[in-house]
This record gives sequence, C-alpha cells and structure tokens, in this order.
Amino acid sequence: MARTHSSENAFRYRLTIAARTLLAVLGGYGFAALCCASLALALPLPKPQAVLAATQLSFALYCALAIWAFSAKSVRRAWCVATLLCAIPAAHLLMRSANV
Amino acid sequence: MIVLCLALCFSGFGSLCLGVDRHHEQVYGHKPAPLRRQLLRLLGWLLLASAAVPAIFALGTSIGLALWASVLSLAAFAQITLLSYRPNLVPALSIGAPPLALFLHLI
Amino acid sequence: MKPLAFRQANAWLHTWTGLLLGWLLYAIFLTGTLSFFQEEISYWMKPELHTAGPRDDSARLALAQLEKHAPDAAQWNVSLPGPRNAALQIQWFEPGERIGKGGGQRLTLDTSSGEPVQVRETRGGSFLYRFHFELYAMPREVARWIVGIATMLMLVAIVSGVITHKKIFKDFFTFRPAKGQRSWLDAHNVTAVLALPFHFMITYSGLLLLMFMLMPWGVESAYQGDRQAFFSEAGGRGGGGRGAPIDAPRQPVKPAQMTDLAPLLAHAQQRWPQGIASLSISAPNTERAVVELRQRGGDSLLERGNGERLRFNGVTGAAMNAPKATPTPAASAVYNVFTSLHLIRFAGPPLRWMFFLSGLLGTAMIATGLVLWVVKRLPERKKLSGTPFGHRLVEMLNVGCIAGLPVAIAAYFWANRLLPAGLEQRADWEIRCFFIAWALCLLHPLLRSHKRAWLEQTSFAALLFGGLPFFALLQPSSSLITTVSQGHWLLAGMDLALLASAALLALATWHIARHQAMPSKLRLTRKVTQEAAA
Repeated sequence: MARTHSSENAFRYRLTIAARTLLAVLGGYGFAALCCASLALALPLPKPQAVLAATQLSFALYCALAIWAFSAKSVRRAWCVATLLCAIPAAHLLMRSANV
Repeated sequence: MIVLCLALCFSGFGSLCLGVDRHHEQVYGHKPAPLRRQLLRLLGWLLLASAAVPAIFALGTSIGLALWASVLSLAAFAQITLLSYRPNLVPALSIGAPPLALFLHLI
Repeated sequence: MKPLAFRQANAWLHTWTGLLLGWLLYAIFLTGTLSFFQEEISYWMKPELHTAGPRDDSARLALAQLEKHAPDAAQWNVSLPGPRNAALQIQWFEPGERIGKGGGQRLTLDTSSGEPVQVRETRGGSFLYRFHFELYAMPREVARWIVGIATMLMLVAIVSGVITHKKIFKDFFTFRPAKGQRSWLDAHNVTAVLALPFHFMITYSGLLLLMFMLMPWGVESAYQGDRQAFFSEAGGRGGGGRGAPIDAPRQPVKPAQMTDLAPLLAHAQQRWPQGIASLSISAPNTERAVVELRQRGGDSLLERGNGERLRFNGVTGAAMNAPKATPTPAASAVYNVFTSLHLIRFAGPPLRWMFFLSGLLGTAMIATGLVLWVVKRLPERKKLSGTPFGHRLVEMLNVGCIAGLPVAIAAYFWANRLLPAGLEQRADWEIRCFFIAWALCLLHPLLRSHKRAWLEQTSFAALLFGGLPFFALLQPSSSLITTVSQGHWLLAGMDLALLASAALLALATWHIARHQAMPSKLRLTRKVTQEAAA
C-alpha cells in the first residue's frame, strides 16, 4: 500500500516537472517570439531600430518566462499566467494582420 | 595606467573585504567596530570607482570601462587567493599597491 | 508535490540546466576563451614563419610582390604584421572576380625577404574558434542551433544561480580550501560571482550574435521576412560603423603611375597608436586607384570597435574625405557594444589577456559546478550498494570533458608539430587527432576508477602541454630562450602560456593524488551494516 502511494507521488512529481519544462522550453520561446514580432511593430522607433530592439530584448523575456515556469507556486498558475502573457502580443499581431 | 587601475581595484577589494566581519576577524582576530566597518566599505567602493579613471584616460570611455570591469574580476580573484592562503598580508599589500603603481607609472 | 520556495525552485532549475548542458558549455567556454588568442595560436602553428624577423618596410615588399603577381588586379589587399600575427599576407582579386572576405588569391610572404613562403596547411586557431559556435562535422545551421539553445540555457543557469545564491555579497570573498563539498561550492561561487558581469555579458552577447537565426520573428513581422531590406536599412549587421566599402570600377580605365605610399603610411602610423592593420588598393596602377588604410584596434565600442579608415587618391596621394560618420542610434549602439565585447576585435594585448582570464574563470565556474554535482551526492551514494548509473555517467563525462578536452587540445598542437608538412589534407588530420584524443579520453574512464581516471588524464595533459615548449628547443629559432631574448613576445607568450597550463594541470594532479576519499570509520560502518543485512 505504502509503495503504491509513493510510486504514484513519484509519477505525479515527474508529470509536474515535465509540465514545467514544456512551459519553459516551448512557452518561453513562444512568448519571446510573439513579443519579438509584436514589439518590432509596436515600438515607437524607426523600423530597423524597432526590430533590433525587439529582437535583443526577446532573450531576456524568454529567460524570465523560463524562470517563472519553475518558480510559480503551482503548475496551473504557471501555465495560466504564461498563457495570459502570451495573449497580449498574440492579440496585437492578430489585430494587425486583420487590419492589413 | 592599467597597472594603476589594477592597483586601485586591488586596494578597493582589500578594503571591502576587511569590511566584512568574518574576514576582519580572520586577519585581525576581532570583529570591526561599526564605524570602522562603514569606513572600510566606503573606502573600498571609492577606490573601486576611482580605478575607472586611469582606464578611461588610457583607452577612451567605452573600452576603458570594459577594461575596468575585467580588471575588477582579476583584482578580486587576487584578494580572494591572498585571503585564503595568506590573510595577514591583505592589509599591507592593499595599502602598498596604489603608491607602488603610481611610482612605477611616474618613473 | 509540495511547492518549492522561490530560492529552492531556482536552485533545482540551476542544477538541471547546468548539468544537462554543462559538458557542451564547458567545451564552448574553453574553446571560446582560447579563441580570444586565435590569431596568435594560428601564427604559432605555422613554424615556417617564425624564423623571419620583422622589417619596417614590409608594406613596400608586399606591394612589390603584388606588382609582380597581379599588376592588373581589380584590388590588392595587404595584411601587415602586428602584435597578434607577425605574418605578412597579400591577397588580390582579378577584374570581374567578386570581392569578398573569402575568394581571391592569397600568398603569405616571408617578412625579411618578401618572397612567398610555403606554410604548412593548418586551420590553426580558427578551428577552435569555429568549433566554439559551429562545432564540427555537422551542417552549420544545426550546430549553431545547438550552441544557441545551450546559450539560452546558460542564461537561465546564470540568472537562477544568482537568485539561489543567498549571500552573494557576504560570501563574495569566501573560499575555504580543503573542506570537501564546502570548498567545491565556494570555488563554484567565487568563479561565478567574481566575473559575473563578464559571464552575463558573454552569454547575452553570444545570443545577440546568433539572434537573427534564433529569433527572426521581428524581421518576419516588420519586413515580411525580407532580410535583405532589413539589413540594408539598418546599415550592415547591426547598423552604425564607418566607411563604405570600396567599389570595383566597371569600365576599362587608363593606366597611371601610383603615388609613393611611404608618406601616407608614415602619416597613418603616427596617427594610430596600435599602427596600421592593413592596406587595400582598388584599381591599382590605374587613374582610379584608391588607397585605403585601416587602423589596428579601435577607439569606441559604439562603432563595433572598428578602427578608423583613411582613404587617399592612389595617383595624387591626396586625402579623400571619409563618408561622414552618422551618430549610431540607440538599439544599434547596444548591439555594437555587446557584440564587440564578445568578439574583442578592438582589444590590444593587455585587455585581451584580461578577457582571457575572465574566460578561464567562466570555464572554471562550469567545471567546478559539474564536479560539485558529483561531490554533493557522495554521502547519499555511500548508503547505496553501488553507484547509480546516472552518477557514474556524470563522473565519466566529467573526466572525459574537463580533463579530456585539454588533452585533445594538446594533441591538436602536437599533431601540428609532428605531422609532415607535405601531408595531404594535413589540416583535416590535425583536427582528426583532436577528436581521436577526445574520444579516447571519454572512453578511458570506463576502464578506470574515478580517481585514477582523473589522475591519469590530468597528468597526461600536463605532460603534453609541458612538452611542447621543450619540443621547440629542437628548432633554435623557436625556442623559448631565443624568443624571450629577442623580445618575440608573440611566440614567447604562447610557450609561457603552455608552461603555465602544464603547471596548473600538474598542481591539479597533485591535489587529486593527495585527496582522501572517505573517512575509514564510515567505510567500516557500512561494511558492518551490509553484513548485518545479508
């Protein structure tokens, strides 16, 4: 009985690690990519400068999200906040493409 | 000039190091009085900041600052090594380094 | 799962990002650090060039050779000897040939006679440089992605490491030797924190150098993927920079006598503290000739550390106004500063050595981290009957990389010295020796206990490195005694660095040999417990 319980716990633990890792890797890159694309259009700078600034900043954003993925109190919170954050540049890009 | 920068950084880190209770005890056998500790730390930061001046003077602003940043690491490493193996030498060498560097620069 | 506190979570993240890619990052860091001196290493690996002494009029000799080999060329380039590379090189492009970095015809000249000299085929220091970000034997893009991903994880490791390190100021000077796990942690903390600005800068700037590949989405969205348009609007890779490239003339032009270059060269030498790096003449021996001199080193990181360029009319010798340097916009300036600090093309010898030492600290940071992972888990391992496979794997990779890579590098240098100069595909063979040595070092720990593996590899590396300067004694002109007495610091510096590396490795060997594994009392207790359980 005790053994099944702990092996179940171990499985759940591995699942949370996998979930956080997935968020950090894919979500981190996705968030950075979305912000890069969005900021390149949104920043009040000449076009090439905006692209440069957005691209250079994106790595810091990726890093921040990766740290968040593992520091958040729960996996659910990690994913929810990350999704909300990604929605902002995603919405902006969707609006832009709809207008164009 | 670079030697002067290095010497000032070395001195500055020596002062900061002695401003840490544990290391002051390592060298002098007792913890520093609060005022002494504050003064050591202030002196340390001032020396570190002033070390940027000869670097900028010799190499221009951007490259001078790059040199200063890397000299900081080297000077800190020297102090840590000294502290780990010959802590008693820290005060003497820290005080002696800038005048020696200045002397070498002037001759 | 009980949620971990912020610091604890970051400690876990730091450990795993560090471990998973630690060996690759170690290789990247070590080869990168050596790449700061890639030109010096390349020169050292071409002994045919070591006998000649420098001459003041090397430019004149080079131009004479160019006149001889390519009087009708579209462009002449001369690379002048300097403190990093004492070789004299010429390059020319025939009319109609595309003028670019590669291409054209090249010759290395003997600096004392000016005659072309046959140099042994070697990739030199640039093998290490290329390995650093393009690895080897795989498509370029794949390798850059691997390195890019590793760098992104390195960034996470650095940030999570800083978050985890509670007493970053208080423990700044703390190093307690000979205390086992405590000492390894101190060493890891010290090497990391001491050069933290450098580590952060080199990692982030590494990402910036690869950023158009890793994060093309800005260009995609703003320019609909038209990268050419972006680059031309931004003004080169990052924008800013001085001077436009020389264009090759298209129609046939009248031949003309070129002006004497000596006063132009003298003027430039006086103006620039580190001297002239190179000179180019486009449309030589014609009325359209333009002479361009490039400064060695640079003044400002905002301009990507590029030096100044002086241009003169090739026939009259009159100075031509350089295109007005526009002030660099902010985002470009950031890119320029960061990337210049990574490549340090601007740096003279003192600053270069500083960066080299910081790089060594970074390499040590990674190495101590990897060893710490093993050492930290030794107590819990003693309670088990054997070593878990994962732990054993980490141990073997630690030895094979941390000690093995230096062995491989030394093998590369030895191959350069021992392989016959006329060997077919010589450069490739030198590189093969590097990889064969490394592979052997990765397999060797399979056959040895952990401590023996370390001892054998570090002592072997020490022997290999130490042997190289002694081998040079066989060629009187290259020996350390000669080079130091002649002030030929380019070669002497390399030999001294090899000796210093050997000394460091010997010191490491000595420490490992003295290392006491586990106190015998604990060993006895374990034996009793095992017997009781049986």
